[in-house]
Amino acid sequence: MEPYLLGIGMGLVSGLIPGVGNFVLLLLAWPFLYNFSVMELLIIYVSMASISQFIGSIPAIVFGIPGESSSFPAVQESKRLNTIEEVSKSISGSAFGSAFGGIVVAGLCFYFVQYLDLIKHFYSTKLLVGLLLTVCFVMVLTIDNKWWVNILLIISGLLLGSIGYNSYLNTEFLTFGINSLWSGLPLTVVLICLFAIPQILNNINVPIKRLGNCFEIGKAYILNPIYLFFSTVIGFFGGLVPGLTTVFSSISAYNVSLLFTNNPVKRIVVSETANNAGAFSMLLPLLLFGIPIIGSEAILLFLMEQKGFSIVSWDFTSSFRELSISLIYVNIVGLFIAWPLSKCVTMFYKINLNMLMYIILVSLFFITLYTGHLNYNMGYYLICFTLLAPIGAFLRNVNTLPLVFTFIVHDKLIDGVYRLSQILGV
Amino acid sequence: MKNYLIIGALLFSTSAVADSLTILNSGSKTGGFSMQSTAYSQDLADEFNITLVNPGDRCVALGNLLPKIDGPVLMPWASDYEAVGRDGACVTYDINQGTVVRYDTSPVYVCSRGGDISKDSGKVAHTVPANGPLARVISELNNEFGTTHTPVVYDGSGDARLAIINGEVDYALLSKKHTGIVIEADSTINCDVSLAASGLNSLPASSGNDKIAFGFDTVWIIINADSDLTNKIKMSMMENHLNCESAIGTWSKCNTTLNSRWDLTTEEVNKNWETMVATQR
Repeated sequence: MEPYLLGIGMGLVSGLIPGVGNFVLLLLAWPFLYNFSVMELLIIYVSMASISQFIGSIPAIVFGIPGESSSFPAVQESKRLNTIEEVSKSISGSAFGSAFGGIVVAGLCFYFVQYLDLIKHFYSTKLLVGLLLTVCFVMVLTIDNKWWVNILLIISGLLLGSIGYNSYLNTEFLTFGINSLWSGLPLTVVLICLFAIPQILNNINVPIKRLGNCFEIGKAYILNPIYLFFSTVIGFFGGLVPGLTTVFSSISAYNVSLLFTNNPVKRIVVSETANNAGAFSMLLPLLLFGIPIIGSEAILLFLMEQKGFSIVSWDFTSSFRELSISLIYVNIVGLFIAWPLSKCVTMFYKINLNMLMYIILVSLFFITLYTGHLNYNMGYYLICFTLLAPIGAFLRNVNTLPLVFTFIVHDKLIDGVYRLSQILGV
Repeated sequence: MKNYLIIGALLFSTSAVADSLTILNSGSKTGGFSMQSTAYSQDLADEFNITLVNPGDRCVALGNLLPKIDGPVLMPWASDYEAVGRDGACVTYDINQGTVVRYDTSPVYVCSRGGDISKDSGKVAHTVPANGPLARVISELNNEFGTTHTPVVYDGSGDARLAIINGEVDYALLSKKHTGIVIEADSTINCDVSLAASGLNSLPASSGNDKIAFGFDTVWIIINADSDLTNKIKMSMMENHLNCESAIGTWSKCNTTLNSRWDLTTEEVNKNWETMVATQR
């Protein structure tokens, strides 16, 4: 099979199904991947990562569920889309923005490949902690809750994330001697219960205004290229953050957009542009230094090593140029997959949306069970779902993005602050 | 139709005959244990029905999953995990509950951006935990040489590697597999193998300071298997290590990055293991 096609197919699945990310997909596709060369494996991975970002925005914008973890901002803003035209614009704008972000990053990497080694300076504890704290600070000021509610949500996210055993500090927090709690609360369950469920409940019974001007539907919406370029830059550097990559890209760009615009369409496009830029830059530490910064990259590295990849003998320049060209191709394909869906918005809304939301809620329950099964801990996932879902329902009128963000970054933030104190000698 | 039936019968008979084996990774999803577990899952698949279980967390792997697995299990375990566990972290494992088939000794190398760790004080990158064996090594180095090194803890070897490459720290304590990559990334960094192999690594013996364990021991254990099956798995593992084309052979650069012993007696394993765990506590 063509590596492009396999990667694109995997990206479609990864983007559409919450909880099934690139890591799980790579494990499932393992038997098929062993026959590919190093460059083909990279093309598959890049295709999958990029297409999942293109596609993940569709369920986020239309139905308010994050197909990809990086689609939180799109989910958040989707409930402010009041017309079919806005929904359509968001989809086409995201498709064009994503393609812009991906192609610009690929193009710049292609021409500045000899300077890419400079990204090693990005991996500074001071910079990482500074970035994380800045995003938290901006969230307090900009997320549409009262400022003290945002602070409470940030503290709650940090506390919930801290439950379990911290291997960095060799300490435990609120485990009560229960084995399952040592690994902390499952990310998928927290995201479903404390982010997806409040969003969905908030969207039930909210009518979409039907616009008469159908000519607008599906028409290409392209955001100001200057905004797109800045989103791309933010997304590029966000993609380099270990463990967070595209999530950090989209949330950072989204936070910056909150300072400049109140338009939900623009905010969605900005964040979706950023996460596609990050989908490529996250590969740089792996290719430059042999360091995987997320789980799926570790699997990729292993597969590549089976095919003779060695960072010492790897011809980075020529291989990376070939990969950049592949990325441009993949982004064009992504654009032509995602953009036509903006013409289908009216079809989406012919469905009984309330009924659909209830179906999605039930599906999320089964996704919880499935991911629990994949992690060999279904009972624990079920208990967490039972406990957290009512809290999610209670928070249906609150924007829980600060809570979810700090839950995801808690270890980077806590460990980073500790490491910074070591470096500064305080 | 007849051919399909024959193929089906063959497949059925093969799956019925092959022994099942669960490979349980007790390390993180991005580290060396994960890579090796994945490699074994591929190499041993011709002879066994392999299930790879990779939770990415030793607390979950040993606390939750291992007790639920009835069949044969192949699992890695490290002396520093055990040392931290005995000091109160989530799990410990008595290696005598299974059979240790592979025993690895991995010295830690000192990579330097130019300074001499026994004279020039600076920031020293090491891997987790913050109060673990490597942090104590740095403390003992300060006691031994009168230096004032500051330990800086990183989440994994990859992060520690980057820290010395970008100059955030002056030294990094790394395993052999990582040293070549560091030198390739920045030729001014010196990872003195001889220093680790015969200098600092032999410090406990030469200085009489038994608080310094400048390396790690790791074991691969087979659990819930009789001696015949244990030997079969062990032989298959050894064959694959000697085969440079195998997955584990590729990962270990044709077995050159590992220092594995396959012939240790139970007494030798226990003696080496307990000594290493004790010095790391």
